[in-house]
Amino acid sequence: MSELQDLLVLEHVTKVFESREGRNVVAVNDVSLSIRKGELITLLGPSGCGKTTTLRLIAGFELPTRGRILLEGQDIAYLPPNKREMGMVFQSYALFPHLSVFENIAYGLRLRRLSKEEIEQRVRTFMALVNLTGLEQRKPAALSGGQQQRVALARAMAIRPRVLLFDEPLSNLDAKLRVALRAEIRQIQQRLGITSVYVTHDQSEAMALSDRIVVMNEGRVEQVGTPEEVYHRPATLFVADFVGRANFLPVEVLQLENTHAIVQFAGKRLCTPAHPDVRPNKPAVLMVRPEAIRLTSHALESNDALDGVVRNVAFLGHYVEYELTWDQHVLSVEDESLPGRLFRQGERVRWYFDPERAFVLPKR
Amino acid sequence: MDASLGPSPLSRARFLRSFTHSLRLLLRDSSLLIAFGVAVAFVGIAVLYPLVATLSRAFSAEGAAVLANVLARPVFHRIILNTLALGLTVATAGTLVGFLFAWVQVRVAAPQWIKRFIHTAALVPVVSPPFAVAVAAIVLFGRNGLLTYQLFGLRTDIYGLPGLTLVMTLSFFTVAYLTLRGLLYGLDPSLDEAAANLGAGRWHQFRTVTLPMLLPGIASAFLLLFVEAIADLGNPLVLGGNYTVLATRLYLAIIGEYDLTAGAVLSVLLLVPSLALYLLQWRLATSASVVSITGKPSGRGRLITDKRATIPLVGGALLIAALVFLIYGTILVGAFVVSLGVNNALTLRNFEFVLVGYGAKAIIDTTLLSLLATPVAALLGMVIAFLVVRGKFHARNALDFGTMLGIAVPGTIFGIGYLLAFNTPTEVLGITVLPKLTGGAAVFGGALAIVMVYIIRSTPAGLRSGVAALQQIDPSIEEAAVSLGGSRPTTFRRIVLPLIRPAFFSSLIYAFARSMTTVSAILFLTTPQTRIMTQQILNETDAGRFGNAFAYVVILIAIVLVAIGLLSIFVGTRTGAEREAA
Ligand SMILES: Nc1ncnc2c1ncn2[C@@H]1O[C@H](COP(=O)(O)OP(=O)(O)O)[C@@H](O)[C@H]1O
Ligand SMILES: [Mg+2]
Repeated sequence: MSELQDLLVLEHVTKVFESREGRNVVAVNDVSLSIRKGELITLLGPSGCGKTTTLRLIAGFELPTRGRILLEGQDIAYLPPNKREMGMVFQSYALFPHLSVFENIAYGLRLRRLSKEEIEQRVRTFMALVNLTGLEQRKPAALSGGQQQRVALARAMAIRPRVLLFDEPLSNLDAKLRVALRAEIRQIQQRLGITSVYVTHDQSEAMALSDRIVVMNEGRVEQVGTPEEVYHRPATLFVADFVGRANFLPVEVLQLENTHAIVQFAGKRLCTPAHPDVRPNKPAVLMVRPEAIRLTSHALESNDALDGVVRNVAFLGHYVEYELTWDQHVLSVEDESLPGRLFRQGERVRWYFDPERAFVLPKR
Repeated sequence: MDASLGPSPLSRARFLRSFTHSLRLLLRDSSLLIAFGVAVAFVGIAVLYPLVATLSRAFSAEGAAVLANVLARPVFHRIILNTLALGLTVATAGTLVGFLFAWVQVRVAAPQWIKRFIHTAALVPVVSPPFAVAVAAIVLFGRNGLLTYQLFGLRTDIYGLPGLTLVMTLSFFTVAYLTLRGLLYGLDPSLDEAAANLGAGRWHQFRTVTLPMLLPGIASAFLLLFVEAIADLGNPLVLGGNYTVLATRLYLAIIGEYDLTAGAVLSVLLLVPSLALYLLQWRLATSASVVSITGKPSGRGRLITDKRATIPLVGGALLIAALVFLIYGTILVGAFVVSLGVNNALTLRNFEFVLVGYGAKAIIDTTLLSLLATPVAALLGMVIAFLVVRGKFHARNALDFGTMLGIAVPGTIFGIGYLLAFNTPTEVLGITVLPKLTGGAAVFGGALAIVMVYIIRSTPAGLRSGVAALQQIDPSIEEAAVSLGGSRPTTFRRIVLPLIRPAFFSSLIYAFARSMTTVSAILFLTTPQTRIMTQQILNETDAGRFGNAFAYVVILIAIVLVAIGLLSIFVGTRTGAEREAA
């Protein structure tokens, strides 16, 4: 039995498509997930990793080749999509072009045969919620992309779905609007406590929105965790690399101490947090995020610092991005932006990091 | 290599798995299953069964003997050659005319009224029975022709290949025109501009950029015309004279000799090239659409303004358009005079003849049966289009193909097929599923068979326009509607159908016009209880009463135009414009 708080459970779900040439494509490979009531969980991964397929399996537009999907403990495999009470928000908005904004939002309510007053009232409530009041009679074509997606959001929420599904809803919007709308989605979702599954390939969107993130790769789940866990304690090299940027440095694991490992790095011993699968004398790498690396002037003597040469500089205002060469490695560094402190291309610098901000991962 | 050994156990297991999967999916959503079942049953009964009946008769022992006989006799070689020659000349001339019209329409700078005139001329033949042009041509260009003899004193022989080519080109070039016009509009003008930018002159540009892009479309139009030309029965009957083609020989076998076996054998001879060319055309058309749509459809390239090019192009198109109007003018005038060219006194006797007696019955029967077939054909076309575009089952391509057979197969063959298949009650596993549909004592005086033929002949066009329209619609729109709680049928009715309303509307019009003007497929199916206008027109023509024939044609065209007008009012095309605004 699944726990009571798990509203939606995927058990070993696999989806195999037959491609046109008759070859089999495993779009979703043995995925198991539990989605808790009221949380927003994000499926994050590169394009083609099976996020949309997973979402469509939940929605009922596809049937799993193997495995089960349980909603409140009930297997819903043969429940058609229109009986699943799951609202869906699409990348392309998918508004009904021949219906007004009001009628778009009312569509699901009319199907439920609500009274006229109730429909009227609920449409107005949700239009207000997404800041669209006054646009009731417009046709979708007369709205901006952001407005269209708000209509789609209101339409999906108005039916009070058991689960709300999002498939890259912000991908067609420009960057500023994307940031604004994702904050709004998060607020509304939390206010109404709607259980949501959100698909995106944008890791900052995933971080900003999610209670938990599911990182997927080639149809498989690589890690399920809070944004913090996924970022600082990645389960695999893939996650470390895909979520945020990371430097991977060669280390040798000497011994383990609880959650930490003593490693040999650049001739020194460090004690850093470690992945539970790390073992002494097994191949491992040290992950150091660009913002964990500090730079100092070459002139300053320091025992802990290593030598490097600036290969590239990009001044981005709120921070400075460097590429350093160190011992045949190229490192990404995000340094503070302080007046009067900018290292030039070709300049020799020293760099160091706090071992607590690094993470040792097993190399597969 | 192991294909010759039959399916391997592995692929059989995979087939079984995907089959049960499809079945589970279908069962979960029973409305799709039901729609699919209805479509398959209809296509199976109304399209495939008559063809199978024809084929099995043709390949029976009796049929084999007839075939051997046919293949041995030089007269039949002549007929086959005639058929192919007619296909070739009509397809060539029709493609050229269609191309000329399309080119002038899209690429040449000309006054708007000229373009509208040309466009109208190209569409007129759609609403008239195809052989109406042939009858008018006899009056205009025959031995006593108004133009040839009375004006220029020429004794011309319009009967035979040249006359047929002229008449059939004018009747059928619309297909080529519409196909090529669509392609030309779809061509990204920036391609031409890019070529011009690189220093290509107009002509060079045409040869190296435009023509290669259009080639699949041109070839596809050519093949369609070829198939239509060798399938046509009305024109060769009226204007063939001694120039016998397969379709007319087939007609003779049934009507003159009551020999269904010979009819079936000849059907197969006609079926083979028709289907082969049709399939080739299909492949070309699908590849053409991939090649041509490179950008937003817009004909806003630079228009040709060079007088040395525009004058011959526009002049040529205008001349042909004028010829079309001259012919239809002849029909109209001919309906109101005693005998055009012989006795030009005004009279209403032709209409009187047509409107009282069995003329009236034919008009009412034809219109009623067409009205019955029209919504069914259009809706069936949309539903099958939906199944083909959105369905997930493997059989959808077979359903598409089976439906298209309704138009790919010459109508005459369906006429014979229906006689062979439905002359006795149809039984499946010993249960009668259909009563006797054709011949004497047929149910509803043969009307059901005629309606079925009308439907199968019109559904393919609806299917194609439905497919084209559905492919423009983001599938997520339907998925959104379903996720909001709508069943498939509700979604189809409230979301899909309104969105493809222009396609639905045009297939309603097409279905009605097509049914009203159908000749070859129904000639064998009419009974004394059910009279059809096109057949009456043919009878009057045969008897030399051209005035009556013209009056029928005028009434028929008037009915079609009124129906189109009423449809525009009730169904309308507003959604199309609304969508374009989006
Ligand atoms: N209907 C389908 N038929 C065949 N292959 C599909 C189908 N849908 C998705 N795929 C394949 O499955 C894989 C995962 O696709 P998808 O779930 O859309 O990925 P994502 O949304 O993560 O980009 C891709 O390789 C894609 O080509
Ligand atoms: Mg996707």
